[in-house]
Amino acid sequence: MLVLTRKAGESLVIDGQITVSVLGVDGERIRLGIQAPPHILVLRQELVKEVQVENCRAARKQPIAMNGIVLSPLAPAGVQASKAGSVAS
Amino acid sequence: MHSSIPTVMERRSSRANRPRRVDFPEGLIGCESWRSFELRVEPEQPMISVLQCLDDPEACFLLVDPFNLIPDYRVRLTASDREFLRLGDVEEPAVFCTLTVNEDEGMITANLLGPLAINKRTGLGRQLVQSATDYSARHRVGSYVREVQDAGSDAQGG
Repeated sequence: MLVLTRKAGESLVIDGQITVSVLGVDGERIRLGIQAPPHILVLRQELVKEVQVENCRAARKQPIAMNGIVLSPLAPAGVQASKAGSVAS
Repeated sequence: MHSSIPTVMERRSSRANRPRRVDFPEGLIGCESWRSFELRVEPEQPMISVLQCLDDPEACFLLVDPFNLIPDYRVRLTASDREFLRLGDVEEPAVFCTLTVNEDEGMITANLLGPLAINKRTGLGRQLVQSATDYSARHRVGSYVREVQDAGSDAQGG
């Protein structure tokens, strides 16, 4: 791994087309600005990891009794998971 | 090239129930060797499709059309995704989410964070990451009810 030290306001250029700038540092948090051509996908790594882990969990080795599956149309997509612990009032 | 003669069962089933070849040239995320698949509608559960990996017989996915379960679900396709999937200007892909069945907890979740987009014409697919949302990879969408007769139950002596 290439390791570089940068200060706020400094940047680096990758392959002549991607610019990563350190916009600011606030305690543990570093604000980065990324300029890249539209075909370059920039993702937070933990999201990629989550999808990867879920792919492995979802891949079935054995068939399942289809009649045991009960699907229910549910609440809006953004709400549910983050409130997993709360009980409906 | 001649197509094979359909069997009695194939002739009886509707066209939609026939397996459809689907290719993910990049593989699935984190599982890059899983590239070639067969997709078929599960006759017992019309809301579920089965995606069987041809590269690994032990990798089989249950898929749902998320819009059937979560009416406000939105998928964001980038220009690069559209190009990769070779979609026409007004062409929309089929979108599926994988289901994870947790048999012990009797829970079924859908991966809304990493949906699968498939070109309906060509069967070309790509797994997306919906990074600009707070969609969960484990969004609960149902229950799994194990059959009452469980062969695994042990008797406690006597």
